[in-house]
Amino acid sequence: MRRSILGWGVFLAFFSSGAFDVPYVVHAQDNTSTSYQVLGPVMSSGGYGTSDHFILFSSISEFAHDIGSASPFTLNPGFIAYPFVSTPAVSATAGDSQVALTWTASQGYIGWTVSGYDVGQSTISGGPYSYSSIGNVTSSTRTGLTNGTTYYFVITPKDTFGTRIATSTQVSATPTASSLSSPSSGGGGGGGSINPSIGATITVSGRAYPLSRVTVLKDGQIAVRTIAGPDALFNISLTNLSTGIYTVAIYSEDKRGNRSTTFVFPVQVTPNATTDVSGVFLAPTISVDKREVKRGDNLVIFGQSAPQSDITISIHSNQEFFAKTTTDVQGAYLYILDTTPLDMGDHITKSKSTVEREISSFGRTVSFAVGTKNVEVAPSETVQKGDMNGDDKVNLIDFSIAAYWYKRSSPPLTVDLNGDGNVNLTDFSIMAFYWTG
Amino acid sequence: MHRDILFTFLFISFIMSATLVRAAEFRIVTDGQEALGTGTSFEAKVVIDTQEESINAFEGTVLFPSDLLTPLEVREDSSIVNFWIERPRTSTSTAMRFSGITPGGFTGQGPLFSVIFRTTKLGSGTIAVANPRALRDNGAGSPAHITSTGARVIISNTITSSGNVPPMGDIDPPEPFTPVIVHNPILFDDKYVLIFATQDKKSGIDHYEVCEGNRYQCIIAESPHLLQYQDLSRNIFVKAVDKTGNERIATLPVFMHLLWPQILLLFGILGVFLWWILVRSHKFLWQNHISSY
Repeated sequence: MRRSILGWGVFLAFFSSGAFDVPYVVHAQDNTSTSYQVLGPVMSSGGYGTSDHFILFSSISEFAHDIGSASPFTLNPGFIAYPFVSTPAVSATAGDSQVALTWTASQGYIGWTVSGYDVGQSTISGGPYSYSSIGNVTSSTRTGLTNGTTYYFVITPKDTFGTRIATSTQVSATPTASSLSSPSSGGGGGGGSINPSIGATITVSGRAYPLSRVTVLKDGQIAVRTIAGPDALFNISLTNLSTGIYTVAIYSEDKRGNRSTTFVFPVQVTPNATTDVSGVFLAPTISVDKREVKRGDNLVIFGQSAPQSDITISIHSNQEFFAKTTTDVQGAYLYILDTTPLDMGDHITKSKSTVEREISSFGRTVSFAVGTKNVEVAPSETVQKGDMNGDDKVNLIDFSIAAYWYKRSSPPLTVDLNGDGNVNLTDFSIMAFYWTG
Repeated sequence: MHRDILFTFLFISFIMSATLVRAAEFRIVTDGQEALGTGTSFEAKVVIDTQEESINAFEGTVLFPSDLLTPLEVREDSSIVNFWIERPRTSTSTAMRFSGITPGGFTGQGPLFSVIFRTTKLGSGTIAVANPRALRDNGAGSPAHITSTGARVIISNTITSSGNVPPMGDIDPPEPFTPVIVHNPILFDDKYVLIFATQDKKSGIDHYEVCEGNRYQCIIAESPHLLQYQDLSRNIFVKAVDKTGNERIATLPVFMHLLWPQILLLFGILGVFLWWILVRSHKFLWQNHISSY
């Protein structure tokens, strides 16, 4: 075993020009449940270690709770440092003998790269599904379906070996015979009629935070707001839509007013049809109690997600390592990080959530420093950028103010968000990140 | 033997460079219409592939061989861009600059816009996005590593191309919208400014018109628009016109943007009028009551 590791070390050293770092000591987590306890777990990767330079096909086991690393390669041992992909949100639009499916791209972490998708199809809710491989795309139209029959679909991202590595939530649609005569696409047709768009509907369901306010943007402007249930589930509808593609964006705020990342996806709507979007899973919010923490003292990392969900916290320094906790019935989580093993200097942390086989992407990152003193996070540090007119929103008005100053000299500091002396695309990008609608 | 070693070396170099460079990409897609005859039109789509990165700001310039191609129109149907900073226009004959944002970011492959070209003479050339920029949705506006892949177009007299791009067939007006009036010290010296934006899901927005007073006295305008009548004493109409001429008019009646003194004066007049009505009716009822005895 040690010889094998030595062999890999030589291999890595060859590609990394000898740029090894000092091993970094982080202890794996003990895991317990009501019926068992796993102490000092050892992870077998199952052969999915990758870097930009190689793919590791063999199985590896840790012989100590260390992270061996080189500049092109990081090995994350420990029970919770396993690769994962976020589960896609899926939309289904019924047509005449067909259903159009689109989904958000799954994001892979810790070495997993999504290389394709399978579409699972069934006429029974919950399956069993018959799967079709459709390549590395994010849309598929299922044809040859029976009008009036409800079909159920799931999307499964696959890794480079073709293994299904996640499953989306199920979405359903019932194809119906078109009652509209299609416009002629023939060449002549001077008086050919074109059917006007008929009011279409988008319904969106997913998870936010218990009793949190969920805001839905349609093409960047607020379309509807709702309150998630105690189970964090929400369901909204956008009605009377024209035919075309809409950019739907969803965000929420936790009980402390911290915003989630914005979940964005384009939705194609067709006349007289309802497009169902399911599986939206807003990433957890995250905060820390100190802007700077004295090395060896504790840092409290906390936030909110769906109730009773597993939270994985990434602490990213020179190397990335992970911690795990769970949320309570109100969706709140808290993790006390012992900063003893951390290097002095700047660090970032972020979190993701898992519940009922659904996996969110990582949420916003927050930064902290390990230093020689403790500095609490001041409330004023949470003020968002981009609010140029001071109305606590970042929306079209702020965009217009920035557009006014675009490429003009001597813009005000409230408009020049990155302080480089002019308003350009970078300032608009910062504004788009903090956009509230 | 040497050739084998060279081939192996080149192959390994290619594989390594391909895996090392993972970048977002601007791409011109012409649906395989690389060879065309003269006088035909075709569509060139400008598409971004973000390669799993969340991108919220896009910028570039579409370059094309202006001696061979004439841009006829820009279509924004199905664009992932929500707000244009610089809307792509066909007004310039050699290049088309664009920049815009998608709040919250976009991940995946999505169209930005498309350009309908007409071939004018024989030859070959490339349509490509020059100076491409794509910024990450990370709150800092960090630039993503970006590449640009163009599309080659060959115009030949041996091609009997009959492919013309059909007209859009858009009979829907732009999306409903609500303009707002704001004033802020950092915008036109704190004067009253009109702000508006909407989208058209098929042909795209061509222009806006602002009308102060009545809907027939309009000027072409862009948001933010400095209002001509700063006393806000007139009805305001904002007309969004799509590329096929469909219109959506949003109205701001005068009572919706009265100043505070004007509102107080209006309420004062209304109060006096109501008081007068009450007095009159009370007097009338009292007289009737007396006469009934």
